[in-house]
Amino acid sequence: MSEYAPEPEHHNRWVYWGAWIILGVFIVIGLFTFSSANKSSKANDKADQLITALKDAGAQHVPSKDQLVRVLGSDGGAICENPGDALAQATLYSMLSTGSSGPGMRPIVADKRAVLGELAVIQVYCPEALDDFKSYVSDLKYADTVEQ
Amino acid sequence: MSAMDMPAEQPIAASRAKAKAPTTAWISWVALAMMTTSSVASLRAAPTMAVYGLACVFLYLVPAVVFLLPTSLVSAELASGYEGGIYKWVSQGISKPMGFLAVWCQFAMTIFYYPSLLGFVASTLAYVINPALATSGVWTAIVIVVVYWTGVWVSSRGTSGVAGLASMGLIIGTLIPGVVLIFLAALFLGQGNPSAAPMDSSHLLPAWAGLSSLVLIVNNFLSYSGMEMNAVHVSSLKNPGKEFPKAMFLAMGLVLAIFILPALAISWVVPADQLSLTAGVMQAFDAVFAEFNTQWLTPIFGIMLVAASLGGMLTWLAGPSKGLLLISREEGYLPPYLQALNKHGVQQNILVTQGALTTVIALGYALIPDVSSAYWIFSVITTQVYLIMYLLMFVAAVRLRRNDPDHPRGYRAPMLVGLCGVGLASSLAALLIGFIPPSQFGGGSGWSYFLIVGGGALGLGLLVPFLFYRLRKPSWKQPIPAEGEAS
Repeated sequence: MSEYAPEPEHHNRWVYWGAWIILGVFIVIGLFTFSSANKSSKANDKADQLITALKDAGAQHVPSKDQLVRVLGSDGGAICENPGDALAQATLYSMLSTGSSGPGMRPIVADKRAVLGELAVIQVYCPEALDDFKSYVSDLKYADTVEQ
Repeated sequence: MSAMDMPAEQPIAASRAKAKAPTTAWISWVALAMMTTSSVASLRAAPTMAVYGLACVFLYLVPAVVFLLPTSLVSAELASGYEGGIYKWVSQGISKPMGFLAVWCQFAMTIFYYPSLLGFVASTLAYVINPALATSGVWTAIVIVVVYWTGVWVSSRGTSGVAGLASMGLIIGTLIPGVVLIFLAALFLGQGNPSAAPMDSSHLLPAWAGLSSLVLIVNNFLSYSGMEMNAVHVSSLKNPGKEFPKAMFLAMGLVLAIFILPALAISWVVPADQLSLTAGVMQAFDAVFAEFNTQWLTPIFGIMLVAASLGGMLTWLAGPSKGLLLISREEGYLPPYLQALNKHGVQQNILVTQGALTTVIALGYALIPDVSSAYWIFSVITTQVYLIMYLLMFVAAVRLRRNDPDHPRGYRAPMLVGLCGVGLASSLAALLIGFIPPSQFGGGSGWSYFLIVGGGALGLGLLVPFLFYRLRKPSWKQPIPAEGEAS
């Protein structure tokens, strides 16, 4: 990206090419391996159950059934991949944070609805993981920081 | 690491001859603006902030006024007058030990940043390839180690390569997907759909929940931390006095746009309650694309976000370590081994030592459940440490303007003393708010939290640099490489 020095550009050219190739390869791999959730009668049933669970939990804006089917399918998708695991816990904790995407990211006192959805998904799609998940979210401190 | 070929004891002439320093590697001010933007902003935070709907504008604008503006304008003035970055500013404005403390705080903060950033990279790649990998410690450890050391290798080749890849990462991983996201959201509204988040005046401000809201607002100041970091590369600009301020203004505009517009766009399409259905950033983007029946975009977005994260990581690898090198050579604060340069004039041994430490921490994060689940506390400690640097920077800026008013500066920040006052007060507020326990601490004792964070910040931010300072040796002093050679 230097506009002044041809030498460094030449010096780094193959690094840039390498980066482009790696990027391209991963995009191709991603396009082949990534699969959005399949529509099925089971997925429809689960979506209905989730909508009911969310309404019971006090959600004001419930997602459309079609959207839930596409994202969560019949098995809950990525949410139900070991939700009680320490790394899943670390991921959740990292999302209860400020709007920083750099090293200034800091934890906050999250809104009480922060884990409501995830809890409902686990309850409906992978109830066997519910106890593990609850073991670390039930102790969290919450507040009403989002305007309804 | 055979490229480590400039032992500290060698005379400068011999060292230079052996090092065969390349010709000055200039970077453009646009590239520097891209590096700065890449260090600070990406789309990673957009789903988190979309939950707040229209209030996310407030949550970004207030910190922009009280923190982004002071840090950007003050560092623009300092960099346009004094080459070398934070260490030079604080050394000349306050004292050399304080200069070392400032650059140490900037450097130390990054050590705990890389594992969490690379953990995000590992989980995003897993989401695209096979979601089951996301909770595999081995997968996470492999990704962290391979990607981090590749980054060290790229950084050790010089600033121009970092600038190129960081710019590439920003364009591919943030700007293009950001524009796509905004376009889709505008299309959504254009088709007559109502916004998922209310966009009326009653939702301009976040709900007031007392101290919790204050924690949210003040902690968000730190979203803009890092704006000053790339000033260490100012000598890589052809005309630093004029070009650095231009780079800062462009970066400020880009950072604001990247933070606010995509978060707003997501809030138009996905209801806040649905965002909480997601166990990570990628699921939130998947939910957006599901609305448009374009979920094939999800893996492409995932890889693009990874590219942006890696571009940002490169800038953090190259910046603070270079500042640490410069003051250490000048004052002999670090042992000769750590001051050695490679043939590109880069502080390779600092990078490698930092890499070894980061690898240990990262392996702990990936493989030891107790570490990963408690890792969030390190981000609190390190941001506390980083704030010490900001306090020093604002004090130094005022002192330099007063004690050295005629020093040539390419840019003079308007109302500098006022700006520094606001910046200082904001940094102090963020430092104090950092002691309030967040959600993750649950019902634990406030005092024990205070002791953990305070003890950690004192140890990392003051004790370690104090030890380096006490153990310094005059014989460790070395000539600073001529400008451009260390680029």
